Amino acid sequence: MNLQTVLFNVFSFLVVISALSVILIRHPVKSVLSLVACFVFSAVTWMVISVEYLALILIIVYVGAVMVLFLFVVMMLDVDLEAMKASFMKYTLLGAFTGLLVMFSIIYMIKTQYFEVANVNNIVASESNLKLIADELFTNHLVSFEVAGFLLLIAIVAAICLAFRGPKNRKVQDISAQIQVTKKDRLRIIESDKWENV
Amino acid sequence: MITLTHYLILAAILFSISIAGVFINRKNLIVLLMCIELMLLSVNTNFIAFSHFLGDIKGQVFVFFILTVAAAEAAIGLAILVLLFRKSKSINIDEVNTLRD
Repeated sequence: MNLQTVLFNVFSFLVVISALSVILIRHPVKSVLSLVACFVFSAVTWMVISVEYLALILIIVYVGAVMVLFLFVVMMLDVDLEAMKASFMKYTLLGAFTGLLVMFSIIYMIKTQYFEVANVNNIVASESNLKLIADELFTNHLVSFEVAGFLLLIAIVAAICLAFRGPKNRKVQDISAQIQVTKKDRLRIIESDKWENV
Repeated sequence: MITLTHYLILAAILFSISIAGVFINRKNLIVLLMCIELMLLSVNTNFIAFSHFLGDIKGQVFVFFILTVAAAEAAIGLAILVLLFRKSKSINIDEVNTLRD
């Protein structure tokens, strides 16, 4: 057993444990933290087969940005934990059964002869992983790259549009209200005899 | 020696854990979003394993795009979640079906 195998076994075990704790821990903040741990451990298992760039991207971008966004939202929301606990046991059996069914059927498919690929790890180890990805990305997938950037722009606009509450207490001019003002709104006629009685 | 099958089994276990999580936590919208993230992670593991063991870099480019789309999906999903919590003061799935009535 070489170092690669040991690292893969240890960290895939940790991935499975932290994924289980994501779905089983009742407290949402702890659940997000185990999801972060799961991402970091699986980045290590990617690193074992020398997929360095994506493993680092997973840690830096995904854990550093997306998971922190999750953590912010989870901490902001004041979730009623008791209501969540109430429905927990009812579906656990069904969930465990379905999960095991899916797992064994996929593993049965994998164990058949269709996926026994010979180990031909040739190109990835020979050259820089980043250079290989960049060559492929910017020669054959340039349009997809631009579309992905545009998709991120749309996501920003959509998220802001959804969560924006409108201006509050800002001293801005409402021009249409200014134009539609009539004489009746601004002038008040006070009769002179009432004025003397006051 | 690590083979492709090891990675495929790891991804299968991760995927079925997240499916079980969708069933178990079907009231809690946040944990449902996290289960979707776990599913995407297992799919990415599959892509990377095939990319490495078949010696084709295209799989890693696909993982790059999947990470981009997953980030956009998480941002919009969390925005909808915040909006829902602001409207109904809870993130229970059973209170989301107001469009049906």
